[in-house]
Amino acid sequence: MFYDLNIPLPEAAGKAGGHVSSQEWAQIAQTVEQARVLGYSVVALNLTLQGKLAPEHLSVWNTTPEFKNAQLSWDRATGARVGGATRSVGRGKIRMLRRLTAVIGDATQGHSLASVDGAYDIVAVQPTNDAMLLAACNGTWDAVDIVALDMGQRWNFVAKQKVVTQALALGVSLEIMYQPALAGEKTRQQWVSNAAAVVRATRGRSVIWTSAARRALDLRAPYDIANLGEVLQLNGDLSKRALAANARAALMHAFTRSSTLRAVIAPKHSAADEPEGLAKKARMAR
Amino acid sequence: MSSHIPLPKEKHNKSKLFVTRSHLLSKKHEHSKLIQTHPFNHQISIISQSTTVRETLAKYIGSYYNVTLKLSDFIDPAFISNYIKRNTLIALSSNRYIDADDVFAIDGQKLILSVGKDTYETLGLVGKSAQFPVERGSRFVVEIDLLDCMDPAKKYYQRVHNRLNAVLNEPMEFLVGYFDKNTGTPVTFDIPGATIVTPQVDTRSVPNMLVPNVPECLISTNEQTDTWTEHAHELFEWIGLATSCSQAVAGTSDEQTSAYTVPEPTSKDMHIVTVRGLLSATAIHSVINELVAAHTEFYVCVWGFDDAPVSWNSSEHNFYVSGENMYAQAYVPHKNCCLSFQACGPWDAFS
Repeated sequence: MFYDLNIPLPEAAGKAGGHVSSQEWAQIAQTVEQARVLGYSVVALNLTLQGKLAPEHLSVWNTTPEFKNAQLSWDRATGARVGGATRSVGRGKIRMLRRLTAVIGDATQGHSLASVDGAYDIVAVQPTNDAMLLAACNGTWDAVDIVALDMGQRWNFVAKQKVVTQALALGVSLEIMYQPALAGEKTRQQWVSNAAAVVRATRGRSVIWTSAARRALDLRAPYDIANLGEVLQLNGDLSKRALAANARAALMHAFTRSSTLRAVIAPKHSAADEPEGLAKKARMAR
Repeated sequence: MSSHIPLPKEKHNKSKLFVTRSHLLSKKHEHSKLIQTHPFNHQISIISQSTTVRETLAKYIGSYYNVTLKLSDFIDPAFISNYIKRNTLIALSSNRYIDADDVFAIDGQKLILSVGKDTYETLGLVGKSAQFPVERGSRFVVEIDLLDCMDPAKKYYQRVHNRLNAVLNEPMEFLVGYFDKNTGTPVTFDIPGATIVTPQVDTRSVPNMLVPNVPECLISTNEQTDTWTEHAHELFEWIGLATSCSQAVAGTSDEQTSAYTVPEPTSKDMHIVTVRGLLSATAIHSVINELVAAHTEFYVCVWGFDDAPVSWNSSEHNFYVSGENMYAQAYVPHKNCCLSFQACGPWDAFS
């Protein structure tokens, strides 16, 4: 299965009291459908927020419309998570997850991620300086699955191999988003430099490719991404791993962190936890 | 871009081409083994001066079926005795990609389940870790011998039946070919719901086609000198261009757009017949035997399914950035010689 763990919600959704309009949801639905057509089986809708996480940030999911050919990992009515991490995807369908990316400029903001408490399937952090990158990679914050770096902008820090190796040892993945590679000339130049730095630091391991596609036209098929990876000296095997096995590993890391006790015991989800079962429960409770 | 990045070595990142010269009267029958051990074929092209190739193909190659079945139906004792044991049944799951989905196939004898990690962990059947992807543990292959141990009274059968019904119990679409064991001609597959599909046949005549003379060094020796290798590459290249109906071999290309020249060309009226569908290896072998008996030079190109779980001799096959498992053969009957070219993608255990 191919995964795309970054289909971003509009930036305004990440602000306090932010919401997603119906037109924006329609564009997201179009992007998800295009991902399904291109061969992706699992996508994650990404809410990026600046600063501390607050409970009202979850309200943006209350207006989730119905997606065609999609299996949601949350109940549209209640917002509660359903299903296991790797629940099988029906033929012709695409599984949708929820991801949170916190842009961290201050260490205290990272600690607030623990309050996510399983509401999101994947949690990512985007450090803005050396100290935050070190904190994201060395396990200072428990609730981190992916370290996201802005590929289109010049960094004011260096992704050192010593720092990144700590993240890999903890099972934290590094993300390379390819949308900036499709943008203007300056952004592309910066993307090549940044992506090559990530590949150099990770040696191609535990890297995940994501699209960060705001519209359907920004998506590329998995084999096109494998070709793009050749520019970064990521051979086809490593690129396909970054789209499949590594992404699955990130998902399992998130599931193990949030839904198991020391990776040994996990709750068994019954049919009542499926979206239809939860809706039926809600109707009966009224 | 810095080139000193010490990335992991690539063991399986190159496609390979195997060239074999075999004698048509030899007991080894290497040219025949190559055909008969490649079960999943979806296209054949024959280039020949003969005008009766289409009729020869029609004699042996025929229809196949689209069927929706559950996996447990394939291990049903009645199904095995009525179909698997009587003739050759080839089946391949439709619309499933070997590197992204779970793929299921029957190669005439075994039910092959090439499944991802998640499916394998819930399936509960013993399999082995697939060689591809190179990183072990992400894909697994389970093989169930349908001609052995499929006795409903035995625990193994009950285990397989229970697990398939519990985990992989949804009906799936399959391409099914049911062929006579000896000749490869299609036999009626009377499963309810089976939709018969006729293979697509294209015929094209190319007058004054530029055909290379098969170099004497390729026919007479196996010694792999640089010259031998170069001639082999040129012949294989020509066969590929001819099956693509390229203007370069038809003699109609513009010198300014194509720098290709046919080596030592002879102008001949040639016919290219292409059949697409699910093709029996035995039928292909029967067709070639008949063409060899006609004593004219001809060239054959056969393509395997990119998403088949096995290629030659049950070697594991997968899709890297390409999934070719095809072969081409040049027959020179008057010299009792056959040159075979087997092209494997990077992720093919045959290589």
